[in-house]
Amino acid sequence: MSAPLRFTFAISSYDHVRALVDGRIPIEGAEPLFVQMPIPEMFRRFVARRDWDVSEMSFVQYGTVRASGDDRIVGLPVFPSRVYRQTAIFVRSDRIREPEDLRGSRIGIVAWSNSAAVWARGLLSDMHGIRPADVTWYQGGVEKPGRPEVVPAKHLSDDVRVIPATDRGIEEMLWAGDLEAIIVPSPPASVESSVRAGGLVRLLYDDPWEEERRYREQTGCVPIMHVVALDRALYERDNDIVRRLYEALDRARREYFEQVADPAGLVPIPWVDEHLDSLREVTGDDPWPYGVEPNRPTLETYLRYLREQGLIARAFEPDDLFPEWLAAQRAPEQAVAR
Amino acid sequence: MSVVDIRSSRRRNRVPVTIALPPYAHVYELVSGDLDLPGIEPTFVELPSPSLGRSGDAGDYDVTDVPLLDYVTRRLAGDRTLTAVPVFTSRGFAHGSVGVRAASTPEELRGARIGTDWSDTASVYVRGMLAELHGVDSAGVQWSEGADDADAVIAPLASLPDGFARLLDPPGESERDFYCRTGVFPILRVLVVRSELLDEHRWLASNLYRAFEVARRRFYARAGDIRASRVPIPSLAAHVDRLRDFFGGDIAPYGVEPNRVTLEAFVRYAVEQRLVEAPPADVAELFAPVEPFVDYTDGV
Repeated sequence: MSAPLRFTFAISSYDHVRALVDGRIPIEGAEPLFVQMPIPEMFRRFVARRDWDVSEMSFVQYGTVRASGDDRIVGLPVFPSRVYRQTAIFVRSDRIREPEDLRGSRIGIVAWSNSAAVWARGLLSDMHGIRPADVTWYQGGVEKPGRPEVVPAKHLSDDVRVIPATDRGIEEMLWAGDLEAIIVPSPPASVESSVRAGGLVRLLYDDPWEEERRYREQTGCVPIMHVVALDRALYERDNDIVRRLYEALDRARREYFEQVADPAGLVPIPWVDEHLDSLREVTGDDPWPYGVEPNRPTLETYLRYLREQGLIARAFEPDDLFPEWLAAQRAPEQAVAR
Repeated sequence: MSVVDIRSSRRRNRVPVTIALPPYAHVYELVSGDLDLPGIEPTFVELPSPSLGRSGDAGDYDVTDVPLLDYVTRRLAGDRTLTAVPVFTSRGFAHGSVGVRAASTPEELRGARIGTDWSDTASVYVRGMLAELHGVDSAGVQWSEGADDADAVIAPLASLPDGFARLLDPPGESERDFYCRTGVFPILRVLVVRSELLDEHRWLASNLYRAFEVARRRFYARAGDIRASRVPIPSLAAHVDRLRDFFGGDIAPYGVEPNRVTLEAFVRYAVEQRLVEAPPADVAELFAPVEPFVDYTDGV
């Protein structure tokens, strides 16, 4: 038997992943070291310096880079974070009374390639017909100005205006009335308390949960924010690691769902069975699948958004996102015998 | 030169406590060490889910959880080996557990022959619900231990036997109706501590209570997190938000006062069902007194 593959694995805190981090579920033939830290820093350090071998990362960044032909990062169809972004669009209620009012408005975003922003722009387009060119976008930090764009949108059409916010953060611009709305995955305190108190800045939707449901039923999507990926150098050392890593992560996910279904209330959410049943009308039996096939509607919508929003130029299919994983799925026996 | 290991010398300055529990999501951050148990050096033992049957003797550990009925029966019979802390590890309605051969309304079960398990905590609430809301009085029913010859069964934590169909279907509607009419959110299991240990360390109950409360709050914050999905259920924040509206804020609070209606109903049902002789003067007597939780996150 060969020596176990040693690598570092950075991932945030998720109930469906923790059995791996705790070491209860092993990764076959591997000795991982786990690192946990704030998501933005984790992503940045993986992409910029490969501070770890395996990492959770932005799915938009992953897809954009892969579609540009750069395969130095190898992704797995494992999606730890999936969030509808109906709850990420905050508006000034004195100017925006319904979604259609956003046409012709100014919206602040932290980055064009921010996954939450991509899905939010996608829903504005799919649900309300508001296309990227119908808005003036201001890109910058929430509190501090001048946050650089991580993944440039190289294929943006000429009629889309993205203006760098260089003198103030987008939070301040919103309150000053120089923006009508902002799209942020994590609202700053001033926005959060205003939403809670029914103040000037509110969520775009009075009932975002109902809008999530409508969007889910219309598109069949459960929006993907993050993906698990590895440095190609690790993949080259052991091609089959993508299969074993996937299997361990998938097992952790499945075991968590067994706990959710346990009648002793191991996961204390009353009537979660009813909620899951309502999801299954759209998602099929498994409301949180990994893999390409069961996520096809979501992946196709995601790739369409990347194209419509100028992040990728060419036609790209869900299978093209994970060719290494698909190859390992097809040839596990050869890989093990190797 | 000497090796400095403050962490391990600190551990020696704490009370060693063995805590045995099933893998509850709302306790996890204590088990993982993400949250501290002040003054306590815990050793955690993972028990199988209670839904897989009884496991071991509660007296094997310093801290564990037991079915509420077992605890209340023993305590009211004068057994003081264990003392409960008002941390309710498992709760849930079980209206789906009523199976019937032919009846279509609960009222038709008046005077029927019903199979039931007298030792099961969830069934206490179900029988109480049938009596209180539908006049299926304990005294008027012919109770049996098995399903043979029975017109109906109450069978929580198991699938209904062949030939029986759910009476209250879907159960959720009936459960919410029961909660709205009675204010009862059934408590199934409660945290208990070896009383000797509490006698030795008078601060222990409050520290356990506080730590479990923080872990519970963290779980619901994670379930409602809209920044990243900490719990893998799409739109879970929506469901949790609606639950908060339904329960009037906190979803499954710990502590005696927020649960007084449920605890008093449980004891009343148990007396009516002759499982205990008389209720305590105050349900608070069943628990170790604990310092109410105050959130100091913004303070020192």
